[in-house]
Amino acid sequence: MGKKRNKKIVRPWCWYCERDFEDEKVLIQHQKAKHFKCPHCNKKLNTAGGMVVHVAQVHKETIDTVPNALKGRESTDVEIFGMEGIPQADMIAHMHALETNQPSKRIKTEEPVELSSDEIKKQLAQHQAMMQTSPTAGQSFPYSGYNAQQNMASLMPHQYSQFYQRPGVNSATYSPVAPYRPGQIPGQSLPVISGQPWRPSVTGVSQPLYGTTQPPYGGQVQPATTGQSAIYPPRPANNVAPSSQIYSQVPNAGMSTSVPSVGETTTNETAMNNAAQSNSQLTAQKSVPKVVLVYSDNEVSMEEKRAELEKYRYNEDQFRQQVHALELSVQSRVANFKGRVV
Amino acid sequence: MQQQQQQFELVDPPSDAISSVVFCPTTSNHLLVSSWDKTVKLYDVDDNSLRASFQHKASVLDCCFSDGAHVFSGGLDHCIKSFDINTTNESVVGLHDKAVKCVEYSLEKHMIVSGSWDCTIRLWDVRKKDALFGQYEIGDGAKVFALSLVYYKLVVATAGRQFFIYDIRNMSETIQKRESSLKFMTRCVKCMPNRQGYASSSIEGRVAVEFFDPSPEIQARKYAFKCHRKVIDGVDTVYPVNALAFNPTHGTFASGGADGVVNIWDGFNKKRLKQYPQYPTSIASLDFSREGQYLAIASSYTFEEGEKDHPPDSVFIRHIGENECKPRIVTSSA
Repeated sequence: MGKKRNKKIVRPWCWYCERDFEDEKVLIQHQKAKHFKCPHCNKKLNTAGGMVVHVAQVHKETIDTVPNALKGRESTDVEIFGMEGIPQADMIAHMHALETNQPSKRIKTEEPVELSSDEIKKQLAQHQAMMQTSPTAGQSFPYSGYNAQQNMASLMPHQYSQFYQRPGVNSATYSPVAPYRPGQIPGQSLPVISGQPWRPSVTGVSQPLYGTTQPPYGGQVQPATTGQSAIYPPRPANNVAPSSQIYSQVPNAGMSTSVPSVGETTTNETAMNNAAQSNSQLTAQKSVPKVVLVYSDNEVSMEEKRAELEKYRYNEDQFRQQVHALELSVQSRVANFKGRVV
Repeated sequence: MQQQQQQFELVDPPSDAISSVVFCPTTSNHLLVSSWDKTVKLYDVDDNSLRASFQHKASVLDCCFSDGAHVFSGGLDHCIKSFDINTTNESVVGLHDKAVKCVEYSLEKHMIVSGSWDCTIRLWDVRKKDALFGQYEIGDGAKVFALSLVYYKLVVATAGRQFFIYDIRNMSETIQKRESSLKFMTRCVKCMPNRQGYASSSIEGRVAVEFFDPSPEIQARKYAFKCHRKVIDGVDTVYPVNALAFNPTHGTFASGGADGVVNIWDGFNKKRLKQYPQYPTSIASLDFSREGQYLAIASSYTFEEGEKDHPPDSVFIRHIGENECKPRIVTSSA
């Protein structure tokens, strides 16, 4: 009977971890969750290749191993989707393993397998041995090495393609870090666009082309430093979380949706006020998104401004003199030439 | 392992800000770089060497090739210069009344087109002794900020967010005069290689794609999108988009911003194909090589925040994979 069952049902199995499943749908779910999940944002991709592209494009990093895969099967180049794409040799090896191992010894399945106490002890010993030795030892336990392989994600080398990086230049590729801006104090606001003569022409006029939900430019800029206390009135305590910690985290989160609803907790009022001051910009921005243009002069270009600098200034008088000298020399040469011809 | 070869930096870069990088139209290894240090330099990107250079009397704002052997440049000295790569002879083609902002060469008309802050476009026939072929006033205050040529079409972007489209066979009349679809100052304009339209960018982190054909159904296809923005401490920081460059084979385009980021866009499907990791400073200029196998990226501070310390000016050459800039066929996954 066992033989019959073996022949009839070859359970779908995962090439990366040699685990088998009830049906292919579950297998695909498993692969997306275990092997094709982006280590940076947990996005589930359909294939290893898809994950590579995602990591490269979104996180600007290279990934060359499939997480949680067995040794030798970590390659991202093999295109696996469910049972599709499994190399023939591995397929045969798997079948062979299935045939030699009786159903009771079947490789780890998703459903609880009834193991004899001996087997459990054996596996436990294997596992412990594996945890003590280097991760490479996991290779010798192909069927139970799954747990060890889970550590692979952390062992993966992080490859930053930062070969262009120079000392002192902050060019971090994947965390939202401020661009290189020497001399700028963190938190200091960029040139604010309010009060520019050109601004009214754009206020409130929403061109259909843009199709954005952005409010008009004119209304976005609020004086960041005024009315800090007004922006941040004391509120009844409604949260027990350590406020200072929350506040320090919010700027890092960028446009975090966590509205600072933390009011005055009984403990550190002063700390919170400090935090509120440093984050007043942020709170102001919560209600009206603040947009700051790095360059906001709509009439005079950056090049024109630069050309105004003393070192680039071009002396026209000097130039005219040169032109004049040039003309004289041409004239004299022409005269010479004429003289020779005659 | 390929990662290291994807990109390299040119040796002997200009000593001051870079204004323009231009690949040669006949070979894929010659790159022309003009700079605020008054020089125009010719590099061979295959062996990463400086081949030739010549000087202006003041900063150079733009440069172009005519064929593989002749180059032209213009700058703050009001002067358009020509340079012969083989003989290293240089000469003055002619003068504008103010600084020359852009120069381009028309392959079809065998002429240099120059645009200046003196609000004129001038055409130069370099085969003639008296090279000035024509001088065309654009309008009051229409300082030329950018221009681009494709076939006989000339698109000129000026101050006051104006766009002027000419046929260079008949410069006396303007084919179209448009207001920019972007609300802020134009930084760059580049024509599509398929001659159907152009892309433009503004100081306010936006790129617009527009078409020449004035019919309403074609005009309905025009669009603009936001890019080169970053949220810093909760403030949406918007950077000027200084540079655009179309890939000559695929028709996709690259944009470079003052945030130091280069994006590759698929203008047909309105998708971003690639974003390259941030460069040390602003992207001043971009250009694809003749067949699109290289992208020259000038990473050089563009003065958006006035005089300040900044990373050194440099030119990066990026190898572009065969499919890197190919428009992706849109497939809907189940």
